[in-house]
Order: sequence, then structure tokens, then C-alpha cells
Amino acid sequence: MSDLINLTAKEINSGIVGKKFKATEVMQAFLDQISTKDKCLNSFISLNDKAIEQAKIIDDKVASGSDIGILGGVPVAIKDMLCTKGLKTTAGSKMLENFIPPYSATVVNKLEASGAIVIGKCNQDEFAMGSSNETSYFGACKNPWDTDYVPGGSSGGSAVAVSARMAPISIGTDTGGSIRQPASFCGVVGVKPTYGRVSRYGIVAFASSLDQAGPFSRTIEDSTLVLESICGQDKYDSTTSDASVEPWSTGLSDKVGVLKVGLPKEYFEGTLDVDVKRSIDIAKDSLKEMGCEFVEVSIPHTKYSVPIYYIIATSEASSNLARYDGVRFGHRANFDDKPAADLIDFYCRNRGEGFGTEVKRRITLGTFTLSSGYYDAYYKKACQVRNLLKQDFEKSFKSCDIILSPVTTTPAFKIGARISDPIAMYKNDIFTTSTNLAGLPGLSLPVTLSKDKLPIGVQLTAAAFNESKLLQVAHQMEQLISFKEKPSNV
Amino acid sequence: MDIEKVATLARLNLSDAEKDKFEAQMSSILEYFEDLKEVNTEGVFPLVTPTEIVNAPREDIAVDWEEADNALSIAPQVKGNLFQVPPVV
Repeated sequence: MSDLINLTAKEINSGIVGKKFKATEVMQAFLDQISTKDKCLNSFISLNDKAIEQAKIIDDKVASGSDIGILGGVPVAIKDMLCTKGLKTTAGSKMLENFIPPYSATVVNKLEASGAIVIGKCNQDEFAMGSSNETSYFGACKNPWDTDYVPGGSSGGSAVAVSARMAPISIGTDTGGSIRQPASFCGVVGVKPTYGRVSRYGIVAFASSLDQAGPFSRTIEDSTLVLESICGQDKYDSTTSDASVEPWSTGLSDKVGVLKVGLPKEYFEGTLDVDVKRSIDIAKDSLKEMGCEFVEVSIPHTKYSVPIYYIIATSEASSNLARYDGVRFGHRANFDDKPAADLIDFYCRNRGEGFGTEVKRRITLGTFTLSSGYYDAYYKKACQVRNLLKQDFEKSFKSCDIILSPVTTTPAFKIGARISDPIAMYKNDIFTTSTNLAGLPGLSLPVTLSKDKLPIGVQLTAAAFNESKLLQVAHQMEQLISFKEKPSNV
Repeated sequence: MDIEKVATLARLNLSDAEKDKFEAQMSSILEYFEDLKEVNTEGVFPLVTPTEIVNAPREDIAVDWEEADNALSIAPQVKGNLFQVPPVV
């Protein structure tokens, strides 16, 4: 049944409902693929040992004629940032190496309520801090298109799982591009919803004003189905919006009319990588064929987006990660041989041992930018420029309906190429961080292969809460572009 | 950046190698942040969250939570139904 792993979530669900195959067969096919391919790719940290048992429940429902939900029987891989009750959740860190959550994230509960079955937990950069999946305590995850290359990050494992047919859909989190960038590097669809669309309850917090969970899949339609399942107001996250969640999947093929597509002039200044430029040209051709018009827009504060992002994200992280004190859960140092000098020493040793280098670097930076005497110059200043950046987007969306841009400056880079140079790694996020700072919905759609045979996606960004237009345009581009390549060894 | 002071504020033990590395990296990262100073932000409200969020008050009602044993089972050290820590004074 190896062909089952090439089906979309939608096809899997229809096949189970139509009794063409069973949910248990589907789950077994994906588990087999994981056991053959993941030793090399390292995209999963844990597997759900109850997955087959849970698939049987779906099969029983089908046999008795009950409704199984829009994702009924569909395996879903979950980034290890999201708590799964009874299933280890590490955030890619030694700090949470043995953490078994006593509750599940709202996203996980919603997926399960739609019939999806958690197949396992995906590798990621430690606490989602990284753009290459190399900062994980559980080892780097590799790009299935060429294992010398990074899969992107921080949701690298979630992107790889879908790309290498180890799951039809997965969930990642996106704080500064952590869904869209790995989606582009791995040749899959990745969507970051509007801030407030998806509950953050039960998701390990990195930067609370930026974090948003979203889907990976091989088609826009599958991501749309996941979004319909996971979006919506949640009483456990007071930042979730009461905006209605429309049945986006039913309107995907509706005519979009004459849309104006914005091209931010700052994004196209200087020389673009030839492969990235070609991906934009292909995307433009498809939009032209759809009858769209192009307009130049301006996001004047673009050059500040990476500094603003790294000040705000590290500041928020330094506060959020204060909870890891080694008292109630998480890593605790050994105090038997060398007792704690005092309470501060107790905390310092637990945290010094539990966190990896990139996390320590960011906590240090964020603690500094929030500290007395520096708060106004860094944190407050960054928040003010963030406001100006958001206004840039609001102005742009008065003259266009959607923005087209690259996802990253280059296709995937080699493992080890940038890990020792934090600024080079941070600058990688130039096109993706603005979306999070402004709270907008964005996605990465696979378009073509580079000269090195690595996938490249393009980024679409819409106005806040306009997922409907975003998904419609992307779906119709997808039909025209028809990217059908897959990694050769899967 | 006074790395020792910041590490203590952050309750973070750093090795000597980490301190040296971070000190050099922080100065180039902070230099990179300097660009922000050229932006005129006089009178600009600092945006701390991207969407318009209003407080969402709710009734303060206690609900049953059956997971206390599970929560204790993931603690580094417990005594009965209490979290235990080593002597710190």
C-alpha cells in the first residue's frame, strides 16, 4: 500500500469514508515510511504508540456509518512545540527532554475533534530559535531533497515529514518565518495565519506577540482544511479573535476577478539570487494568466524588520523562558555532589545546563534589551518602528489585494554553512519577519527547483484576516504552476 | 554589554567559552541594531501586539482538574504531593 503515502489528506479522508481503504492501513503505510526514511532525515523526535489504536476507532466509526470529521483518519505530524497529553513534548530542548504534558494544546484538541490522528512529534530548532533546524538538542534534521542541506527552520521536522511522505499534513509554528521558510526549502505548502486566528494555548511560548501555529501540506486545499479545523476563538487564549472562520475550502476555485498584486519595491532592490528571481517570474506568469494586475507598493521600513524582530522576539523570549526554573518540571542539575550556594545559583545551574547555545544567546540578548537603562533604546524603540512597519503594510493594502515576494534570499543552504554566524542566519529572515511583526497572514507556495535541484517557494501575504483571498489566489496559482516534483529518494 | 551582569539577571550559568563568544557576538548584534536609531519615532505609539485586542474578562469559576498526579509525576523531585527542591540557603 505504498501509494497511500502519496495521497493528499482530502483523498485519504474520502478513501476511508468511501471504504476504499482503512484508516489503519493508511497509518501503517506512513509509519512504515517513517521507519525506512527517518533514520537518515531525523524529522521525528517521538512517535505516537497509540496511533494504530486510534486509527481503529475511525475504522469502527466508518463501519457503523458514523461521521468521522473532515480530517477523519488523516495522520498529522505535530511540531514538538505543541503539548500533546501523555506524549512527550520537548520543544527540541534538553530542558524538556522528559516532559510529558498533562494536557493538549487547543490546536491538537481541534485536530483530533476533526478526526485527525497524531502520528508523532517533529524535530525543530530548540524552542523554535533558529532558521535551519540545527539548534535542536536531538540533532539536525536533514533536507530530503539533498541531505547535505538544511530543511529550514524552525519547523524543519514538520516540513520534512510532509515533503518525504511521512505524513500528509503537519503543524508548525511561525514566529518570524518558521513555517514559510522550511516550506519553501522543502517544496511544500506552509501557511502562517493572521495573528489571533489560532489559539496559542498549550504551545510552548517563544515570542507571544508573534507566535502563530499553522499547517504544512502538499496542496493548498489540504492546508485550507487544516485551517478550518484549527482556527477560531479560544477562551484559553485571550488574544484569539472572534472573527468568523469561513468555509474557505468551498470557495477555493471561485473566480478571483481582477486582483491587484503588490510587489514591494524594497524587496526587489539589489540583485536577487537567479533562482529566486526565476521563482518570482513563474509566479507572476501564473497571476497574469489569472487576469491579475501588478502594482508597485512600498514598505519603507523593510530594512529594519530583522533588527525589530530580533529585539522584540528575544525580549519576549527572555520573559517567556523565565518559567524554566527546574522546580516543577524541566531539567534540574545534580545538586547532590555540589549543593546550591543560594536560590539564584539553583536557577542558574538548572538553566545553564538545560538550555542550548542559541537559546542562551537569545535569552541573554533579550534580558539586555529589556534591562534598566536600555529598555527605551532597544525594546521600546523596536515597538515604535514595528508600528510604522505595520502602517506601511496597511497603506500598501489600500492599493493592492495581495503581496507577492520571495520567501528567502536564497534556496536552502548547506548544513553548517551559517550556524557559527548568528547575524548571517538572522538576515535570512528579511522577507518573512515583517509578516509576523504586522500580524498578517502569509504562505509559501512551491514553484520550481533551483539549479542545484532544491525547491523554491514564493510568498503571498494578505491583509489581516483575509485568509479567504490568500488561499483562493494560492490555490489557483497552484493549478497553473503545477509543481509536481518530489524528492528522488522518497 | 556586561555579560556577567546580564547572565545573572537572566539566571543563566554561562561557561567561560560561552561568555567570550557571546561578548563578541553581542557587540556585533547590537551594532546591527543601531540602524533603528535613524528612524524618527517621535510621538509613535509603541506597538506591543499586532492586532486590536481588548481585554476578555470572564467569571472566575473554579473547575475540576484531574491531572494533579500527572503534573507531579513530571517534577524533578517530589515528596508526597509537594514539589521538592534541594536546600538553597
